Amino acid sequence: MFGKLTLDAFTHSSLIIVFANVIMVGTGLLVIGLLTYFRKWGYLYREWFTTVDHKKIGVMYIFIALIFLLRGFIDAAMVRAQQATAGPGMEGYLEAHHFAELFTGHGTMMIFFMAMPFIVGLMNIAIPLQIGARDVSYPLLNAISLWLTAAAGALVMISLLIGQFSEAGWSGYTPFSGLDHSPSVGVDYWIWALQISGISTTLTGVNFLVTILKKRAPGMSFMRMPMFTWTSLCTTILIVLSFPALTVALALLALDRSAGTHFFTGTMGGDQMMYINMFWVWGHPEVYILVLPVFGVFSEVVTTYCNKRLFGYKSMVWATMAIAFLSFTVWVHHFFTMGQDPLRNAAFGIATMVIAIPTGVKIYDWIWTMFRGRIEFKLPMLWTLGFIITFTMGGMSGVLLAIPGADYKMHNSLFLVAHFHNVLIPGTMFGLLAGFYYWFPKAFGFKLDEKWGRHSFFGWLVGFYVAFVPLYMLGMMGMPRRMASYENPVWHFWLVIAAIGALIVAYGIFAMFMQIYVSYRDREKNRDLSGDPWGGRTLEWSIASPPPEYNFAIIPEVHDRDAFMYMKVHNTAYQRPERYEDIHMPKSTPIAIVIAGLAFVFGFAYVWHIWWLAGLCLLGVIGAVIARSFNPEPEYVIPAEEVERTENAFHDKVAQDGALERMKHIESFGDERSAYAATPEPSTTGTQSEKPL
Amino acid sequence: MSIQTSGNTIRRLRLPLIVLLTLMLAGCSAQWFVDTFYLNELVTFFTAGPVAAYQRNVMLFTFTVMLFVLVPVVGFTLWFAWHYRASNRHNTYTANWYHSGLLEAFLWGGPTVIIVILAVLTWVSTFDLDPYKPLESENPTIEVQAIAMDWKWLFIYPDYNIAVVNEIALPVDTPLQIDLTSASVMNAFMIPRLGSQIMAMSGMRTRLHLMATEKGEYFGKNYQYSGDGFAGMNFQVHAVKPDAFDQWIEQARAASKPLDIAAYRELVKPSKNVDPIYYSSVRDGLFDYVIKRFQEGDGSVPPPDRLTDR
Repeated sequence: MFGKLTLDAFTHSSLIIVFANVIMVGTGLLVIGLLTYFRKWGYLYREWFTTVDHKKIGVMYIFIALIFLLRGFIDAAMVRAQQATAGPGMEGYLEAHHFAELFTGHGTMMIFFMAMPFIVGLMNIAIPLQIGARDVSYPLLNAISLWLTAAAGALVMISLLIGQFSEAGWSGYTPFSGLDHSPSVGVDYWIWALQISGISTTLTGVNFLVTILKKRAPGMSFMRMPMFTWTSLCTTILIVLSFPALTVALALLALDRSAGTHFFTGTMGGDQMMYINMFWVWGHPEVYILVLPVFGVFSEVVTTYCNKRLFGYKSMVWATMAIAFLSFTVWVHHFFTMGQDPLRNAAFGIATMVIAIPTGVKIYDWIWTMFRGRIEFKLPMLWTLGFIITFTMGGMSGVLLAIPGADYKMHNSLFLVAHFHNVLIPGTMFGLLAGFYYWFPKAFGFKLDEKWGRHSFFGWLVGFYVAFVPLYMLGMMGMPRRMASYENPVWHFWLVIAAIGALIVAYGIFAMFMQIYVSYRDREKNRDLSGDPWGGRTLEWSIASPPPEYNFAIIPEVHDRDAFMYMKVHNTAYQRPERYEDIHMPKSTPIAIVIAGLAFVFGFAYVWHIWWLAGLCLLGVIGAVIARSFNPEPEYVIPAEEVERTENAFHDKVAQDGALERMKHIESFGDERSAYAATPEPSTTGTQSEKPL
Repeated sequence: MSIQTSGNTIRRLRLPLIVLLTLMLAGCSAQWFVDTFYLNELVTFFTAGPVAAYQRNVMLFTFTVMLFVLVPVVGFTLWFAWHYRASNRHNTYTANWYHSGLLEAFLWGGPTVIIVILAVLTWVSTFDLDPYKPLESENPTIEVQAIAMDWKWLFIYPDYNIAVVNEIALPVDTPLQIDLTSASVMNAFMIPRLGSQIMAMSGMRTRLHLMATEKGEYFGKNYQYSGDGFAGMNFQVHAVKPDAFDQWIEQARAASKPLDIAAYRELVKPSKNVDPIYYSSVRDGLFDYVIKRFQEGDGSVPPPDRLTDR
């Protein structure tokens, strides 16, 4: 009846896990209680759970990402604490298998449930607005993707309470992740969490690929797309091409574990290296899936806060495409030490290094965008500067590891761990937080607090160096990754420093949540009236913050890369049409949460081998899709009068903000600051306006 | 503005900072740095064999070349960020400038030159450092067969017909040819001060050549996470003079038990933090037999009375 699920699954050997469960279940009950008390369920259901609006979906993605940022970081902090207290003659406070669950959970959550949802969230919020579209191509599919991610995240969460999580590392190397060596349900939870979130990501990839290709506003040719849209386009291509490899690898591994096959077992002719090849055929493009959109964020940020056109746009585009292509040609560098011949190793090593060329071009393009600019050191610009310097160091250690001869020595050591955190933390985390600050006013209508943001930035930056320079040192001292205990007193010294670094990062994360709280408290002071708080250049800044559900009352015409800046220069921004028209928008529907709920139960049932339930859920998903296809009215109409009312209210606010007055003084691309200086606004910093060159 | 405030803060603190830094530098010699940060423990740079020394040189060379990337990036970033700050109203400001063919040629060309240099280095060093390539020496190569288990290493010296758990001895200036396989999950064999690591995988044979040129005691480890006992899966490496090596072999030969099928079946069971065990002799062909058991079966070795194929 319940497969392998017995009451034993609820007992935990470690008090820490029991404590974590109390916190998790307690928080869950508290939230449910509060929502019931304040009668918010109806509102949540109507406005959020059933919505297909890309902006709200984006917000929910980032909400998921922030939850998993906390959980992933707690895991990281516990790993650091264990290694700082498990030196020579010390016990540490964790058992080895619990330690393994932590480093597995940290990697899995940070990549699949923090970085990916955060990126997809930013794409959801920004891309339809940047390309002048009213929604993505497949709004319902978008909602399904979101809730599948939530379902997969819920599987990770529930593994804490019922059973356990995987101990096989975030990459789940076979044969260790096979049934012989990992008989518990941990790996099954890991498989199905990844499988469901992988399907969600694939659907998102298809959705945004089509959206960017088909829904651009008239006049927006490829070479007029904003950089964030460009990099996201490359990312969606990577998603569509690479995720099937992960899906197949995980499916075969699931068969190994539940149907007795021997694809990857290392026995009976099974090939363990096949899994590892397939995993990295997906896994290396995944690195660029995580990093490319964030490069796009940096491009937007640099050009906005330097008040200048982006330098070398075409180079940027070609460099991005080159990185996307090359990302498929380097996967073998994850296992140079497998014992293959030097010809293959050298070829893959050189291919890996070649990626440094387009990446270097991008970095210099950002630097030369700063050249002869007017740089405002708003928070996103600080993140960008921190990124450029820190990421270049990470790139250096990456090129070092790309040399097979050096990799034979440094592979699997903490040097490697330091390297990939050194690219992913600045390359992804810094950029996500920059994008978070940058687009927050667009999504919510008020700006984020600058002071706490700076605290967060310095916490992350200083904490990063204090935490990861020691790992570089430890790698060069010969310490492997993933050690639950060790006897070397020298390592202990550096691991204590690394743990202090984790504490400093913890302050950065605390400051980020304070920033959100303070900004919400003072939201009336920080209202974004004009919808253009930064002197933006692309279309998303031409509409209200937060945008109306239809985004654009009139689909804009694009004449330039910096489409909105072009309008401001030519005094054509904020124009009212002669008359508004009815707008058709997709209706809200509960079908997405139904499908995701069934997917969650399916995953849970498969993990515990409750086959009848798993089968039922699978049929349910198929049935739900079929039932939906009979829906005769998937859309509703927003009447022209309502559109006009909404737009008039926006135009009043724009006038109130003085944006129209400012616009008259904008004469060149990026002249926003001079315009501020020229108009008699209280925010002026100088009285003299200068003519730009 | 906040930028100006922070500028003022820096200006106010400048003198005390300089004094403090000078005092710090005067107070601590190079030796102080070495002692405080354990720099003499950087095994990557303090090598004891030709493979590791080659790798160290590759890394130092690459690091030097990469400085030509890092220094300009950091320099330009800080310089431009400071110089073109918005509060500095006396700078040239070119909002519309976004393209320069010459500059972009340099931006593509510069990294390309550096990568070409490093690509040549990669090509040459990868072939030189191929773990399968025998090392040159006047002394004849000693063969070792290593089997990774949960969670210890078994080393078989077929030429001497002995086996040892979690301990390796090798005469200095004598190449070691190590054949690797696993009786469990994937492992990686590594002696940091001697050089390369190579994975050990069940049902497969990989090979690694190492040599010690300096006498000493080194640590070796499994580098690939393999489960609960991973952290304790260490082995001691004795790089010794030839006569001391012979003594070590004799010591193993004098051990009380041989490594026969029964002993192997006992040894292969999971165990943690295992101290060295010596075996006076080894069943002939054990290493190949273990590989074959994984290729054709589930990897388990049947009890001696039910052995049919040998």
